[in-house]
Amino acid sequence: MAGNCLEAAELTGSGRPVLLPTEIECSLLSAVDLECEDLPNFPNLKSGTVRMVGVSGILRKEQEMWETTDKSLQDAFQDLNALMSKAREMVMLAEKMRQKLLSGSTSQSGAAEDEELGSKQEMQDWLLSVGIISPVTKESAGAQYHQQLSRQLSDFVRIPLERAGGMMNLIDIYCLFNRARGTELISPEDLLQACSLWEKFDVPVMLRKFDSGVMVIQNKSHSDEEIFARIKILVTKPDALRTGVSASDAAITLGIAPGMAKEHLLTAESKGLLCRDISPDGFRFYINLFPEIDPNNVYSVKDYGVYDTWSRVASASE
Amino acid sequence: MRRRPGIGGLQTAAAARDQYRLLGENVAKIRTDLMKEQLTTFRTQLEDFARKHKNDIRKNPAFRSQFHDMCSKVGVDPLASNKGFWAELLGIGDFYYELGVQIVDICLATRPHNGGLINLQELCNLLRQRRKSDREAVSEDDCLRAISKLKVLGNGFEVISVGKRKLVRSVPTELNKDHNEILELAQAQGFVTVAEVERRLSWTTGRAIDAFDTLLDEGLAMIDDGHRDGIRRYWFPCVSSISTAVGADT
Repeated sequence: MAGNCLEAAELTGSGRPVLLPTEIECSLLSAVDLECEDLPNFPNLKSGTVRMVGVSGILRKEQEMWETTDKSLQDAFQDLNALMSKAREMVMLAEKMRQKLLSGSTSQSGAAEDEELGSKQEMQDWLLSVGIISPVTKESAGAQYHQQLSRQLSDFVRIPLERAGGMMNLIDIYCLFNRARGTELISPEDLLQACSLWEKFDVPVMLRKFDSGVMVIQNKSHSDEEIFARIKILVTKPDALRTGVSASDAAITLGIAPGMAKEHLLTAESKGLLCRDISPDGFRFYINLFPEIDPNNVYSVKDYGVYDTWSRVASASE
Repeated sequence: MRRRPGIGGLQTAAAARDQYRLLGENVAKIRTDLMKEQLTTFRTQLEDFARKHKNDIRKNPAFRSQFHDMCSKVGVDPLASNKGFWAELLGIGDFYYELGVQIVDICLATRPHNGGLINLQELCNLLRQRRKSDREAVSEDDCLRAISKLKVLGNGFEVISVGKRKLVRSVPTELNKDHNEILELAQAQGFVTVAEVERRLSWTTGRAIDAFDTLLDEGLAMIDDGHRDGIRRYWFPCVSSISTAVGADT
């Protein structure tokens, strides 16, 4: 094992190693014989005996220590290998069972069906124990652990959600929940599975995925329409008509996180409520005036409507 | 069974069908029992392993890394769930999930400084500083695994390679090839100029400025106009080799 830690040295034509500026050559001796020249009667210490004396003893001890550490790791690797082949068997068995349950034996009657459902549940639990996550589908309700976690979470998130204005990043929930737990933390996948189960239960929260991939949880009572109405009010104020609204402006006014605010503005844009303007001043949003412009008479401004308000505000600032 | 003609024969055939059906159900039941048994055996084996090597896994990052590699080859994910045997018996779940929480914290704290893109090395250093009092050593491999788990939460957590460095992204910023090339150039001195980009990458001025503007917008680059020669330098905190102690004391 030690041999792989160092790079191979270059060799000269005669097989001697090339030494780099700070290197010196040294080698490990397996045995040393010590002779004392001054005192002819001093006993010669010859290595080859097992007694730990003198320099040879030190060198030997070092070597033995190396070998025992090596050996215990070797044991560990051997045990690891044995464990893994067992794990592999489990995975294959689990696959077979899962295929069988999926292929549905729908030919069986009432009582057998209950047994089927029972074993589907068991199946999920087993897969989870071994470390195979199966996604929550229409038919399956996932492992029992996730079902319990799902209920726990829906209780836990109530207060943080209120404080955050009705919508929170999934990753923030992960940190909050785990910090509160202290030990036996949940994995990111546990969180995702538990939140995905909410749609099967009657809880006041839901998981939502934005186009950008960002995932949030929000109160069911929280509606997009309400947010859009507030955005519309914000964006038709005289200041906003002139210079538009940025994500941070929206965040402050709506009382939500800047990241969330940006998502809302983008969604409002895709609904046709806002228009974006990217300039050296940054990324800003304006109310969408195009619906009010008559394509046949582009310059006419009706006496009512936002276009009218805008043109008045815009000319007032000149 | 001998085929008998007439009603007797029909009854025998019906009885035979019934028997086959029952046998089929039994086979399914046997399989379930087999599964239960296998699971118990596996758990016992894992318990033995844990008793002997739990400490090796916790103390030795190289062994830990090897363990993970083998698990993924076999097709199991020891970090998939807190409820799995692995987390329960080997106790490695908490280690990684907590690491995840700490990584999110650090990325959040350094975001104003580097725009949501941080050098993996710097991240690991900040982590180690934070965990000074903690028992277990954290390797870069550990960080990478914790981050790959965070990915499923959809916040853009990802590791990208730029040149010979790895950067950890914590915001859903899209970096295209042009941006990556600029980041790579920046690794040498921590900054680049427009002229350098034009010369080394053979781009037009327009293309270079476009890329720089996007990087500025995302907060990944900073402008430095304070030099006597008047040439603007663009600095990239995420690839600079000087690790700053931003947020490390929180």
